[in-house]
Amino acid sequence: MTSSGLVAIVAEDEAPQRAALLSMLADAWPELESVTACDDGVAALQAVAELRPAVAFLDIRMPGVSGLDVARAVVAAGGLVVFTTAYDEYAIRAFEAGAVDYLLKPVQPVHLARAVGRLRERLATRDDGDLQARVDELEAALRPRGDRQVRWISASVGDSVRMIGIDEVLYFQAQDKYVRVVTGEAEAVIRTPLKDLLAGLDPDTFWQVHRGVVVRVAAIDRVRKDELGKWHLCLRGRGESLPVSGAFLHRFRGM
Amino acid sequence: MNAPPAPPPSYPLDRSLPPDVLIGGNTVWSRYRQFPVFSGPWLRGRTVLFASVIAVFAAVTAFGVGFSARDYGVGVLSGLHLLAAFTLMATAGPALATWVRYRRWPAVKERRGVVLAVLVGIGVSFVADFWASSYVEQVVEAAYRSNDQPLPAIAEEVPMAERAVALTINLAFLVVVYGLFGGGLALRAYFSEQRRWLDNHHAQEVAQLREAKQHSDLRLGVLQAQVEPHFLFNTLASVRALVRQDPAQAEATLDALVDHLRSTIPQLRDDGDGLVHSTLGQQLDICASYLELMRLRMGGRLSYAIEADEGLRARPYPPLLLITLVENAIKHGIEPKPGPGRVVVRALEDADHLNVTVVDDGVGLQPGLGSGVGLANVREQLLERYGGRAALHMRSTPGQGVEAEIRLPLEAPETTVEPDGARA
Repeated sequence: MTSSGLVAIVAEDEAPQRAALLSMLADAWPELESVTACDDGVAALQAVAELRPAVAFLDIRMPGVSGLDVARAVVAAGGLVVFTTAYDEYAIRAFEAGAVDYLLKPVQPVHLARAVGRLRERLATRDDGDLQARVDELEAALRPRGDRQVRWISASVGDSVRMIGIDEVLYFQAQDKYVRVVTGEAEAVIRTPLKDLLAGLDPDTFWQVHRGVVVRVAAIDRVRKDELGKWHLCLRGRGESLPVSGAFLHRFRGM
Repeated sequence: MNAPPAPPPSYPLDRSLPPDVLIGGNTVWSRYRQFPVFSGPWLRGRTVLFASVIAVFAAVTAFGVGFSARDYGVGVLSGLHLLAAFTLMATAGPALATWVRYRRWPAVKERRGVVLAVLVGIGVSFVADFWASSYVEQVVEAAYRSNDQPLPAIAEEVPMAERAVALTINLAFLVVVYGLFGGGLALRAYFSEQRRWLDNHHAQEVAQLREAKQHSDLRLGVLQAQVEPHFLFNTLASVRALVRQDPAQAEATLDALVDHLRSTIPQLRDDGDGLVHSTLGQQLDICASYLELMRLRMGGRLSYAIEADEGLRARPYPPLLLITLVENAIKHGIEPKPGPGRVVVRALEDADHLNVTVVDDGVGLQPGLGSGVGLANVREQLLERYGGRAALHMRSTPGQGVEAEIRLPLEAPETTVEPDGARA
């Protein structure tokens, strides 16, 4: 085998680590025809499009585009991926479960040699399985941990964005294509549909009382019926009243 | 045979019981009930109280007898007898039981001894009372005779039924007087005291364990948050890569790591006290050493500034808050942004607040939902320490970075930690 025709890329935003990985890779895998170094995610995506590498060593956290997005492109172009990461028990668990290879930083020559051995094997057998699905799984595992519980809402106030702690919120009210987020002192809007929002809220803390209204239970003062027989809800220490629809009235029985 | 599995921890008899164990004992005259039943202080307090009440009663009796027998000497004599007999009745049992308790016998033996002591006390006082009553009767009778007064009519002929009723009432009265007066109630309190004390003891143990666990959780939390493993390993990866390529830079990075560890780790040592009481200066140092390390690692892409008056550095400041904001600025602001980035930490004080802002020029906040725990923890800590008086605000213009601000109420000056040698 004179020229393997194998092209690799290395994406790592810290220059010294990038250079070290390149030099270790030259020792561990001399048959590689070329290794292209990229210093951020954007450069890596470009390199993938141009070179269609057989192998990519990717840092997960990179400026511009994350290593996961680059991995997707690599896999789509028929390449194999090895992630490099310093420490992330969730990620490691995901790597092991998903059989996407990884290297722990600081990368040591022995470990790199082992990873190269596995890559060679897989390149020879072309036993890839469904790599795209594995990357998806990995991404799901790496997304903000576990519970998907909403703790923060980044909502627009004019042309700036304010972060609102979920425990500040009194109620959410759908309005056209926005949802109003109302706190004791201020209000802001988000584009996230109320339905998606509800999925991440604690059902004991926030109740949906209307198709377009989700309210903090502790903020409810009373529920009353107007002259037309429609139900409204008053908030503790606040003037406004919010509509309650019949379908949700049962929540207030026995309150 | 039925020995308890472990000897219950005992408690000192001469010291008052923990407030949770007490039943009553809040008024001046019942203060003796704050001490263990059948203890020295308890017996003294109870005897004084009972003897005072009996003395009032005896004085009235003495006056009454003296008046009707027209001989106040006889009155005083019967009053004194009454005082002695009733006081003996009230205290003989408890005094014996107190003697038993100070033997510090094993629980079962002590209980038996205490019950026996109270019964013996009742018996003794019954005999004494009987003797005193008949003596007083004789004296009074003699006094009446010497005055040629008719003796107070004692109904000789009482129908049987009435006699039975009178006898029953008398007997019941005796049981009540001897039982309650002579230590019956105290006996009941004695039996429940051990249980109440043990319950309290267990509750305290549980509370202590819980507190210890919270404390170590906090220490662990601080360690993890301040020296995040990902950050530590990544820095080591940097140093490892630099050793051959650029030894000088490797040294600089190692030095920065050492500085950072020095500014964070001492807080974990001194009994965890530094975790709860740190100063703004210490917290700013942690931020500075972290940012310096990141600057070295990011190859000069990062610049930073810490702006704080020297005078503010001694202000008390909770740990973890600022470094969390700075890490966020790097992780979510600067790192994802290609090109140079800047982080500025600024501390300012106004009339009643200490405001620290962390400003970055990174990618900014994207509108949407977040589930990050770091900032949620900051809010939680602020709420726990300051109630509603502290606040965390985060504002952003997308594409232009984030400004995070922590507003703390100014603490009372005495909690300020003075730097060494500040006093003249």
